[in-house]
Amino acid sequence: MKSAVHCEGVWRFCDAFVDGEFGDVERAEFESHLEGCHDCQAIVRAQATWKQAVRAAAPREKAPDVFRARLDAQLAREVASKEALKAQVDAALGEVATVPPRSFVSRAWPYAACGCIALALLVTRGPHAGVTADLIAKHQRNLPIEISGGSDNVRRWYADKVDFPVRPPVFVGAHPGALRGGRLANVRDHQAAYLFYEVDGNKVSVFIFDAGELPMEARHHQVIGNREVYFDAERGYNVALYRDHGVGYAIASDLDQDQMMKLVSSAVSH
Amino acid sequence: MAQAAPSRFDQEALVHLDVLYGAAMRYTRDPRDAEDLVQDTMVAAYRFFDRFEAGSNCKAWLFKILTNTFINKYRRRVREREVQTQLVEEEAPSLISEEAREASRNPERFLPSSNLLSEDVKRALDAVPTDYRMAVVLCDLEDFSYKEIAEIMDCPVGTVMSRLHRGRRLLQRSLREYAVEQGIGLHSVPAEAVHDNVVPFVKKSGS
Repeated sequence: MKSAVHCEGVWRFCDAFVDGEFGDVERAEFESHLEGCHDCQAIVRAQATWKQAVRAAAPREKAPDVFRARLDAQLAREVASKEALKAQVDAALGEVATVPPRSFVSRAWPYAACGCIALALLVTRGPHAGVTADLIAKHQRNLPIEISGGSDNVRRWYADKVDFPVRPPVFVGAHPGALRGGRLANVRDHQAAYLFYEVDGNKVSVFIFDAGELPMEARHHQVIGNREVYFDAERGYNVALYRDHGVGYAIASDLDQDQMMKLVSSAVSH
Repeated sequence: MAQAAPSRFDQEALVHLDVLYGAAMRYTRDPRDAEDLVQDTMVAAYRFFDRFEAGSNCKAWLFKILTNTFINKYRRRVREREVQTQLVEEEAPSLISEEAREASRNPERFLPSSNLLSEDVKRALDAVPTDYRMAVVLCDLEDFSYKEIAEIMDCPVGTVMSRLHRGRRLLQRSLREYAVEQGIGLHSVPAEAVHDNVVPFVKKSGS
């Protein structure tokens, strides 16, 4: 019987064959062609030989001892920091432990501010509550996505629609497909890019805007990494705002406060 | 590892430190950058270890973080490479045909040197453009499947295949040219052996 695979198919998919990526059917068809074609055998043999030779001779550097010691020290600091933060959050949240989860989180922040000096929370409420309410209102609605696709696609779409660069944040450690899409939006009458994410099964809304138009001072304030982050909470929803390279970012979600802090600390805009 | 750290992190993540460092060296081509990259990776992995699903592939998860961190840190270079990748992918079919015809006419010319040296592979690999180099490192050095590489590099499997194809051909060409310059023989396998039946290749589990 004549093979379903031709020489051009072998040339094109030789790598996949050598790498063991074929299913049984494709593999059988490929091998059937090779049996009768010495030229293709030579090509496949050459690629398999190269793969083995490169693998065998590839450099395998080990992490230097000095670096291991530095990493150990860094991780030890992380351990201490994580435990301290957990103790502070537990202490703050423990005071309202009988309150149901959603309102529990929103009410926990004033307590945390009183009890956790190390967190340096500054609690005030003022005109910014309007921004928070606006962000949460948009987050709650199922607004249609106007652009979907990967980060680059989304970025390009916004390029001629808003007056600031839209760099969709990447949440380190989250699933690569976390970014679902985006649309145009207004936050307190100011133009914003509204991005939709799904992180660990939770809806997360990210608003990007001109930081000069929406002031972020006087919220619950905390330094996370090298960022000044402003937190607010309303009706069980949490909002975090921060600046990055002169652009404002607001994240709204129903994640709890601890998860929200982790999410913000993992956000990278490139 | 620090005494207070969770033992599961030590057992599942820190055991891959050398492998991550080796890959970071190939990604960055600089020991200091490689150390910084691995440190950023391990710290992020520690912070988000609760998101790692116990029993799943921790090495792949760590490589995902390593690769993400690398791309984010070197974003400008990546943008330049994206343009380059598109051009090369358009050229790929004709290149495959030309090389394949030449390889079938003179198979021994396309085989590696019998004494391929680690230093030569390192030099040639480091000269391959970053996106292609990453694909080659993940497949040939770390033995990830195409599907795993697509997850790690956050791109379709088809893109993995084209990057891998291009990366390998550039690597091979560089090593062949270097061997010719150095007067090193290229014939590691007798010509008649090249025409023997192709040995069976084992399919990777889970791919």
